[in-house]
Amino acid sequence: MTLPRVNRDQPDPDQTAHLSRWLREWELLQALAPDTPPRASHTPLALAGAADPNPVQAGDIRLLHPAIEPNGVRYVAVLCQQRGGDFLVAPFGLLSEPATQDEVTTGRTTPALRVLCAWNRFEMCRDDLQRSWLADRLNDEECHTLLTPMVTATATGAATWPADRTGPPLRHPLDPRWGYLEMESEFRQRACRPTRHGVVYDIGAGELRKAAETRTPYGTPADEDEDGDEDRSTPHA
Amino acid sequence: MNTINISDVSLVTLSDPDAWHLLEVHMTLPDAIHGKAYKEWLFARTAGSPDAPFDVVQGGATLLMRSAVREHLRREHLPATHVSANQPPTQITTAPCCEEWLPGPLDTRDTVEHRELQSLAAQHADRLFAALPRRLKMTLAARACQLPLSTPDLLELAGCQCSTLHGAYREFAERVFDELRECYRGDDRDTVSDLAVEVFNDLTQRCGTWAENDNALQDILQSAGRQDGGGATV
Repeated sequence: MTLPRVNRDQPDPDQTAHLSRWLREWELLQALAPDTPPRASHTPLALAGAADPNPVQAGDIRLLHPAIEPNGVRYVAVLCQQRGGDFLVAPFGLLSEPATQDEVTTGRTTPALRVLCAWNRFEMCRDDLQRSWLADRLNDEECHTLLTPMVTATATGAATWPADRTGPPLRHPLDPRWGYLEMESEFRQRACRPTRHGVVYDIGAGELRKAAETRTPYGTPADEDEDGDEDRSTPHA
Repeated sequence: MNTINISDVSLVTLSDPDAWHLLEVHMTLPDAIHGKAYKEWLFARTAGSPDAPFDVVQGGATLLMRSAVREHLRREHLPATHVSANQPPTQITTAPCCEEWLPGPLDTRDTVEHRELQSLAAQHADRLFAALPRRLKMTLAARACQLPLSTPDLLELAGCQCSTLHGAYREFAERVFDELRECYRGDDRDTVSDLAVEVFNDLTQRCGTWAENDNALQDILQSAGRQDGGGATV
């Protein structure tokens, strides 16, 4: 059987050059990666140090505490506050070129803040962000250009930016960029790991009887009233 | 050294003061509210660590230095594959992988042919999906949801290590491409590659749908989605 002939135009030279640069930097990243990953801190974040005095708000650029990300310095942009009180954040990328169409250049020249990874956005609780340092804030232009498309994107759709600010499309299953996405997805899982928050008991201090408190003898009506004994047969009005 | 166009290491080695200056320049955010917050990060690593504080800070500085070195090499040195324009061309070297990973846009006059190709891809995907082992379906479904293959719950369900899933994925992708190239040996190579990509993407979508009906896997995918807030698809 002969396949239907599908013709393609010449590849976009800018995209090809872009991908070549990205591949080269990815190769450097892998060549310089440590043989063993750093050991994660065993100290709960709540005890790891004082909170940053600046209240968390949309537009913040926060440096994640090493208890959240021990593998290196990672910044996140705070997008917006969610209904439950958590914040939606998007990490800045490790490389200087956007890898895919869902990563965008920010216009900043600082290596750690050149690329914003919209595809990798996730929720973080206020406490975690409060203990991460406020490094800078996005200006109005950046908020409009970078944050608004992400905040208004639907749950299944991706935010869109001009092609000259994003990476090439990803289609081939053996494209090395899948390895990069895998690595960054692992970072996302580490950063929003719920075990870091510990167990929360919702019993107030006043509800627990302390050992030294006096207690009326068993069977005393006053004692039974406190507990609302379900065996009582006294009808209620 | 294999990644940059330098044969003598001493030519790129910096002195200690220069190296520390490189780190400062790389890590500091200019004109920022707190441009040197990375120093807080360095010393915060000592909290709760069983190692000596000096060792912890030194380890953290080493991590940061790797990033600074990478940026320095990217900016200052050419890649090892760089060829001078003055060198007599012995062979035209383009990156075949780049061309395969990033082909040009489809000719808009070939819409009908492209739909035929997609229909043919669906037939191949039907055949391959029927014979796909569960572990591979799980791998493709995880990829479709951008769930890392290193997710502990996923590995426990699959009953193997992360490297096994990665290896299985790669081996399967290569097998799909090789099979189709063999099947359509006389056809245009680029068109066969397009067909293989369509087949693989179709398979990935089918595995995503399959995962929705697998209770154990769906729990893992949904749990990861709740924690993550949902990563967008590329």
